[in-house]
Amino acid sequence: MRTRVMVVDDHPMWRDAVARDLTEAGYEVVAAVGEGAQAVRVARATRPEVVVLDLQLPDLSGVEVIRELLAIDPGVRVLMLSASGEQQDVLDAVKVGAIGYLLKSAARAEFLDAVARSIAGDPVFTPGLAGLVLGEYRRLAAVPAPPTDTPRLTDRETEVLRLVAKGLSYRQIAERLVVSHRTVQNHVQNTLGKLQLHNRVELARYAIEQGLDRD
Amino acid sequence: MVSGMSEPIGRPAAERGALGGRLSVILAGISGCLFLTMSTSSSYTATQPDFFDAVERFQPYGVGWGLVAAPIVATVVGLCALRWWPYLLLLAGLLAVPPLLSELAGVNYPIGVTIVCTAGYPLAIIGVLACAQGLAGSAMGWASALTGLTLGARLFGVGLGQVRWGAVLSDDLIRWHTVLVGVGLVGLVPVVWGHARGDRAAAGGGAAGAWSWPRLRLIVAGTLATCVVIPLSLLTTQRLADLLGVTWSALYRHGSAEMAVIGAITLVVVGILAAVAGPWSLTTALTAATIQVAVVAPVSLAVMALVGSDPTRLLGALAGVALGMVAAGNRWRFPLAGALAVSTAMILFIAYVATTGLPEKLAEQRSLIPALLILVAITAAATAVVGATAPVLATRGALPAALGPLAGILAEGGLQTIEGTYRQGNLQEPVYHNPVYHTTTSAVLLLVAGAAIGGVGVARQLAVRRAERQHTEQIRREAAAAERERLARPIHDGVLQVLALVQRQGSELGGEGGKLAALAGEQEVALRSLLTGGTTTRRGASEDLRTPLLALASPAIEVSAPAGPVVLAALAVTELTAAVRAALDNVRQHAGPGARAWVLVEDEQDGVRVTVRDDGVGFGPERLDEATEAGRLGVAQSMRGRIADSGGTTTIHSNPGEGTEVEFWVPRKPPAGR
Repeated sequence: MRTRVMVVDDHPMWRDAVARDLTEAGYEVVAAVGEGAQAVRVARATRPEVVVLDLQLPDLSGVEVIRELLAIDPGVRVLMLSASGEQQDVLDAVKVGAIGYLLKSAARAEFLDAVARSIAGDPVFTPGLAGLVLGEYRRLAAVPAPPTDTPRLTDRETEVLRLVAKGLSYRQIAERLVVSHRTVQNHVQNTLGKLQLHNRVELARYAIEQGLDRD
Repeated sequence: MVSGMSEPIGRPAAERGALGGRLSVILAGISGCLFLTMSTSSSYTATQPDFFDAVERFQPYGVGWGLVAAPIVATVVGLCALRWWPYLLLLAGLLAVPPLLSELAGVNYPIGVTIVCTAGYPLAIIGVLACAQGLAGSAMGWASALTGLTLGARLFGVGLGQVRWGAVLSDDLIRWHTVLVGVGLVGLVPVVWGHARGDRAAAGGGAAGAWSWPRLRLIVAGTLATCVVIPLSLLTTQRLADLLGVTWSALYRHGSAEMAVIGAITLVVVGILAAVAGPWSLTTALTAATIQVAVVAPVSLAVMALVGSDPTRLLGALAGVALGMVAAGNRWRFPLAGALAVSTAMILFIAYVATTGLPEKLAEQRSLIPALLILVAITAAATAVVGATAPVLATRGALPAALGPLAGILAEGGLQTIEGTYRQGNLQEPVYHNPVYHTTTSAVLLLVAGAAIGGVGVARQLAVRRAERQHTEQIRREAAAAERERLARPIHDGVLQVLALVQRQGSELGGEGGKLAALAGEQEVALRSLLTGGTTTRRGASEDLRTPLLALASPAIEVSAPAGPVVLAALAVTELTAAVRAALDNVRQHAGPGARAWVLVEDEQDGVRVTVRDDGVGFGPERLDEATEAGRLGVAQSMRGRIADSGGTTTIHSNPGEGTEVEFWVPRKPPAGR
């Protein structure tokens, strides 16, 4: 059975190009839409497994769309595609649960590889995203809070993330650290997982504090 | 000094309604001035200040200290309670009643009552000035006119009382006093009636906190200025002689010298206090004091010449005051005040020359027209000059302090100094002639005051202009940011997307398509950095390191950084950027064709780490020295020195076939901490 993919991008040329690439690569493109709200409606009906999402949509923010999509199907893999360097947006999107991020200027092969990895559940990290995640962990560590609350990277995870940020591929990292390719993937996945968990805990705490859980 | 000179543009309009209309406020201010008129128009008790005289030193004992304390207490209370100025004026009016009753009915009071009543004069001055300050927000013209009237009213009082020296208290004058106090108290009624919540604008604008330093320093300076009389009283002739290293008898024989020394001490001390209150307070207090010293001789001369020609004298003084108020009340107040001061100086010079250097002839011969001319001119000039200082002081909340105690005591010091010059030792001339010898000195002082008020006007004009320029610049910057925002949106949504698409699809076409893709990629990066540039987060001398480094991105160079600003001292940012550029140049030149580079910015707790890595040919460790000699790392090596200067380190790793990694680490300077 072919993997169901949805493309969300407000630029028609882009939408078509990406959808065509995906179809040619053997994916089933269930929808190609240009607005966030529309994407959420369509996702409810078509249940895509992977969503290729442009962070800049005319109506909803990328973070909002990702939240809605995950509410419909917690297993959906959201791969962000963005032409801009809106770093905070990218970081926020990853924190709410996007699995990866790719620049729009990436080559077709790179893009298809990223989609395949997303389906497998592997985070897709550009060096830029790794730099953002590293920065976020450092920022969290600098904020005064009970140490148990703050997610922390192990030394090995920091090392791996830094190597990703410096442009090394997983294979190169595995060679350099003398570990398996799978171990590198696990480390990267953990860094993202901890950040997303922390984000959910924070949200839940906020909801309880505000009494939002009572209704 | 510079920051103190900046002029706020516009200020929040005075809260209307709280004081039941502007008219009642103006009426109250004028009523307060009536008490001032009364207090300078007679001289028979200690309850009245000697407007034309310096405060004599006296040896206070027992209840005499009350005489020292009363004006000080009144000043403190007045400066602290500016917001409640209608009650200050009411109190001043009520304190004028006991002396009036003793004039009318010969009531005798215990000395304590008399002493308490001396507090009325400083209260009245501060009250009227606070009233003017409150008006400044909505009616600057009236505020200035009222400020001028504080001196004008006192001069009119001098004219009313005929001549201070040797004049008896006529029935006429008692009637005048009754009218002044009565009308004054009645004029206060509307504003006191509708004054439940205080006049916040009178306290010196709402911007500064109630007890912030800018306000507090005015209270402190004003209070200390009135306190100067205490140490001066304790400084006996004997002590002063010891201080100067002369004998007591020498100083006693040259009483004028002693007076001048005391006056000079007063001037210096109060001058310093005025400087504490702020540069504008200092300049305006000095200007007001100068004109106050300058008026003494001409006013005495004119009033002496006009003794007996009753309505003329009063009308002349009144006309002068009115003229001065009009001059101070319109927008050309600075040039008009300056012109009035200079013209009056000219009149005095002419009077001096025309009387062959004996201006007292005017008084002896009762020369009506010249005396009237002098009276009108001098009262107008004095009122206008003092009034013109109001706009610069009112916007700073310094009007009551600067023109009240500070200018008042400065004037006393000035008078004392100048008086020392016309007493011939202890052999005094007939007292009432004394000031007249100073006609030319007065004229010179008038010139000085005219120049000073002109200077204040120019300085204010410059300050206003600068504030306007800053304002315009800010608007321009905001407009530019908004325009950038407006442009950024469609460029993000359209142009950048297309460029990225061309880059993506073009590279698959091969040949020309590849070149096209590369071009599109470069343009995309350039356009993006153009859009994000200029939004630098500047915090004084610190800058966001990300801004210059993210601008280095290109299709072959990827820059990774945290989402938030990475703040470092501006110098460190410059050095790091230069070092990264040098490292990237190295990549371009030596890493081989098609090499890519990654720049990673890490914001660590105690410093910032920037790594530049490439996937080029690299080299072995044994070749590092060789490479240095061959100049391959020349630029990077020179960067090493600069990074080391900012307390940082540079590390270089390389292996053949694995590319090169250059790592810069710079410590965060303590003051630039986040």
